[in-house]
Amino acid sequence: MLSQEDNALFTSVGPGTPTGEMLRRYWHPVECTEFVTSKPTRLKILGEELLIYRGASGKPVLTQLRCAHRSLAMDYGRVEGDSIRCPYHGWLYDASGQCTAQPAEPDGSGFKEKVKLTTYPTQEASGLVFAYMGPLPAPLLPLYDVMMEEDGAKGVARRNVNCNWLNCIENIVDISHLAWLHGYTFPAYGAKKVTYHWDRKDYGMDNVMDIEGIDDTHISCYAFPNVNRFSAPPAEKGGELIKSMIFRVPMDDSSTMQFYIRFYASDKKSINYQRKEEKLGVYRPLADDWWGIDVGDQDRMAIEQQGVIADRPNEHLGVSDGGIIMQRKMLRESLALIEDGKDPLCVIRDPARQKIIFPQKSSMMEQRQDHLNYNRAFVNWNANAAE
Amino acid sequence: MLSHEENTLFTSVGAGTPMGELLRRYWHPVGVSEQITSKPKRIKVLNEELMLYRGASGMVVMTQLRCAHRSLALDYGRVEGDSIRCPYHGWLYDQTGQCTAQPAEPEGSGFKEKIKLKTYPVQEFSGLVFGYMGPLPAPLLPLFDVLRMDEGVKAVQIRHLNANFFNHIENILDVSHLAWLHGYAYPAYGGKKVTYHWEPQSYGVDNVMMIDGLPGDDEHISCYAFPTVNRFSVSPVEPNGPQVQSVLYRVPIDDTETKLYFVRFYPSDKRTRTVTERHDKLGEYKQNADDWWGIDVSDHDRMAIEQQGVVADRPNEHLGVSDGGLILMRKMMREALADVKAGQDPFGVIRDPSQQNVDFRQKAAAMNDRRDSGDYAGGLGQAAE
Repeated sequence: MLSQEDNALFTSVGPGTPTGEMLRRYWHPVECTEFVTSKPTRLKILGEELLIYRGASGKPVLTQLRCAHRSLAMDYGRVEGDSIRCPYHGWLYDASGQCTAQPAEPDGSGFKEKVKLTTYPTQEASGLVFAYMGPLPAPLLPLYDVMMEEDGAKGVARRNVNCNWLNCIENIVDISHLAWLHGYTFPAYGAKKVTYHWDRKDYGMDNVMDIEGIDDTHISCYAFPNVNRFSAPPAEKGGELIKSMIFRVPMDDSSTMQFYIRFYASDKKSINYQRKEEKLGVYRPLADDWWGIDVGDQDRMAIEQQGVIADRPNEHLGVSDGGIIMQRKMLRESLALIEDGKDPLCVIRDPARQKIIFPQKSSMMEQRQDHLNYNRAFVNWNANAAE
Repeated sequence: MLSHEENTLFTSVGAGTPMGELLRRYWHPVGVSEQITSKPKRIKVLNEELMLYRGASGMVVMTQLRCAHRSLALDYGRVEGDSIRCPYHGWLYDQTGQCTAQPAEPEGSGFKEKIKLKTYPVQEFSGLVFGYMGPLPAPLLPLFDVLRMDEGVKAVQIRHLNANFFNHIENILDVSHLAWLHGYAYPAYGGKKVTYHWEPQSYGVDNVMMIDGLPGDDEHISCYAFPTVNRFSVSPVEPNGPQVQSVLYRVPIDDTETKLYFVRFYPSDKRTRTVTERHDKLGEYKQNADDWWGIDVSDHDRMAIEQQGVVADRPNEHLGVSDGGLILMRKMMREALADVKAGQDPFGVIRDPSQQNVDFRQKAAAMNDRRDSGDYAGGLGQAAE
């Protein structure tokens, strides 16, 4: 149970909020590489309205959405070189956000030197554009194992969900839901007696499940603060498990972007991009499923059905919710570290620690109820590779 | 004119508010029997998120919407016997709300005994599902005459109103609107000189109109059953046929929206029943070019109620002699609020079985002459075929 105050503390992500400032100490994916072009597009990240475009040099530029002059959103602006020109009065801003032209001002005016947009550092890796919105110098981008995979088929996707980020994060470490919410899809653990524990790691924590009737333990991983790493069933029967990770990036306090990377080894090297806009309360039906919902939408149903911000002051956590309690402890530790002027948990500045390899044990994932939608989703996500 | 404070007092319906507590002393329709099945249905009543489902025994269960574990809405849950299972971690709750299984917790854990969902008493009558959210023991369900009419065609319409319930309650007693808002549809009183008075009754108030030049009897009566219901007669489906007997319940969803349960009965050899549901959008009203206001009669009242603003601006109203009904109703509300505060049953709560059947006076000759608009009789007309 959280107090109203702690629930607000953990779920408010705008500038100046403690959790908002904490999340700004990490690199986050903000868009798929393929969707960043010379046509500027609007983004909302951590409650800030932003604009992203790819300049002539190929570098993604992430800047505040609105022109400093009269607050026009610049997504109808024009990219010139690495600069962006506002359509209202033609003000021009370079890749650093510096205003370099104000055509209507008198010649020789020094006004433009005083005008600068907020911009944020970006870098690209594994089909995603990452951004850093915290105090400089920026830390290193963690190179998670799936990101470093090259020889095979990769699916990269962006998908919005209609709830606060913490609903998504708690669902990562809340593994006792697997045996029920996903019970139809995975008969190996569906409604089985399972015992759970959680191990703290330098990257976050491991979720460990011991399932009645299966020798092997099942392990999935949480990378603090907003990433998980797991193995998904093979695209084809008998194939290898799909190495998967999901980043959760708060858009604001009531909506979150999820960025997926999925990989499996293949002779055909490919990368396939997808973007999905999901509607609150609408879930893909599947008549045979225990809850009537396709597995691809089950987690979204659960985290959206908790309410946009879960009602934590009225929750009742048991022994099987130990992961949630551990995760909240990590949040509190990180918030305290920032208050002390230190880097929060899992911020990496030592290049020797930049690569992160996760343990994965999930043999029961091979036993999957064979239903078409699930298969098709994976094949589509890896369309180029699967052909 | 109401003060800001009293306008808030009358229009706030959540748990713990005086008006919310008053309204919780009465049974309210919360669903229609046909719609309550083993697939749970999410509802919101008096600003509480709730859920209805029908258990294997046939009983209807009304429970808080969210699982006590991690606040999941249970409307994708599975009904097992009379219990409901949460899809997230499989917690199971019986029809009293008691948690009876937590599959992921260690065996022998006593945790589940400490967990209970809030549930409310439910009963079905005349195809409506009624819920009671107040202190126990619950009073009796008033059996209004229309509910007890069986030999004929019954139509139940559920509608959604984008305004506070109090706008709508005032519209019941505000009978002087009939001659203007509905003037095109009813030539017998459209634009006519009418005088009004209001007569207190055991169930509430009778609205009495004396209409200038009405052939035969010039008295027109409709009834208000305290606190949220009215009873009236509408035009026959076929010319010279019997009038349609109607009762209309208003149930606050929250402070800004209201659910209507409109039951209409028409004596006929055909014994049928229809259920329809409409979810209308704020600011969009069915057009009728001939109408005085360009709006079909079926949307007149909704237009008026919604156009007052979600909560009518009563501190800036100006009430006249023809608004006596509203003033009387507000007086009854104040008395009922005082009764609840004093720990007594408010007006209209029935505990004596000999008082449970409620019959109403109805005089509505003016309704026999109506300008046709297909939609108005539509729901019933189809059933009557």
